[in-house]
Amino acid sequence: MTAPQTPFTTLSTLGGDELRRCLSGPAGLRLSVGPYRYAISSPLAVVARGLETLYGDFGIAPEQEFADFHVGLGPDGLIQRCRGRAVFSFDEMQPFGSIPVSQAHAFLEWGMNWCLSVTMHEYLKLHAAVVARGDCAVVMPGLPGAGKSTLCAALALRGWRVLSDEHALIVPGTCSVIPVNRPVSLKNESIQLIQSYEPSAIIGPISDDTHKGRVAHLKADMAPGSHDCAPVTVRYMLFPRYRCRATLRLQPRARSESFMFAAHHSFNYSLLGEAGFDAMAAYVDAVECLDLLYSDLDAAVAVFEQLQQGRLGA
Amino acid sequence: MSTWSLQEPLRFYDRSEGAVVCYGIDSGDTHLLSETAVQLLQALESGAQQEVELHQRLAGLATLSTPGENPAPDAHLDVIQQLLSDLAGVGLVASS
Repeated sequence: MTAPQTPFTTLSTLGGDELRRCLSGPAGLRLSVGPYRYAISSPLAVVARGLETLYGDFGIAPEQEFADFHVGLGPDGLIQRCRGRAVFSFDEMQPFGSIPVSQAHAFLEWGMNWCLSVTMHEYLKLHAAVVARGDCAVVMPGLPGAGKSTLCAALALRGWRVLSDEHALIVPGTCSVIPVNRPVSLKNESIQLIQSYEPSAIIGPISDDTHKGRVAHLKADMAPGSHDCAPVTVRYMLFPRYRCRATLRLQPRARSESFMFAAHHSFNYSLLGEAGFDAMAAYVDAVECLDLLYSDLDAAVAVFEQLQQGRLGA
Repeated sequence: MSTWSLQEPLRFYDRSEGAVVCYGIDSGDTHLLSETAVQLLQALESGAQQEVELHQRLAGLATLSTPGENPAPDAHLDVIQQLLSDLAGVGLVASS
């Protein structure tokens, strides 16, 4: 883990030409994400455009500074270049197959998630979105398609701080979560839904025909303190479920069932062994577990605001 | 009659909600079990037991019968046998 840099320089200060030079250089662009730093290399215009659109307020560091993850996205050889394909690399390995260049930004985002998923086991890592307002953080695990990213995006556009769209990094023995803010992933109908929900939403390059369909990312660091690295206390673990035309319903969820769901959707619960069981037990004991069924984003956001004010829940 | 024993040391996350999380320390497997199943496992923590002993120890549990029902004399034994079979199926107990 890297120490925060001072003074804080953001990607937007680089300008387009300098950004492309950094991305094309041998050291890559040093981008700070929460307590971590990525070194990103790519000659692709779509990657530069995505970073410029979505990461302008992220901290950057000089090329000689340490990076936790060295990632790249570009053609590997002449054949891939001629065919308009690119491949993701991590520490000079290529863990995935090649993809069309048009999907490069989405794949960079997935690759950056993957780096965090398979490393950094000092935390109990849940597959969940995390949002916060004031001293109230809410962890939202959910099955794919449950609507957690869409809800996370809506909350980001209504003043909530996004700590992550993908990873809840729980400090073992506590209910504290480490912020790793990045753009929120939107898929298929959610892209248009969020554009309609907030026309000023800043959305990055759209990748069509990926294995998850149409994918785009929402800039999600508008709230004050979005790039603070200090742990935040989780008060609720809320399991969202979107269902068309459903009546809004918030109800308590058993801790044992919440434990199991979170364990099954953790990136490293099994890997941590008995320490993972202890960490999950301590975490679940310290939070209030709730099920939220929703169909209307504004109504769901209102539930979060009432939770933050302590007007709902136990 | 069979003698039953635990396959590995276990830990439980029990918050009196009707279901209990059970963690196998050696296998790393995590299961969500009924309170009755957990009481059966806890009865085996002191060592292997014959099925009839387990029946005697657990026969008084309210969770073995449905409220308002008057079960047949061997109904509890059937429930325990089924539970043992289920727990053996997920590798938590074994018979010898």
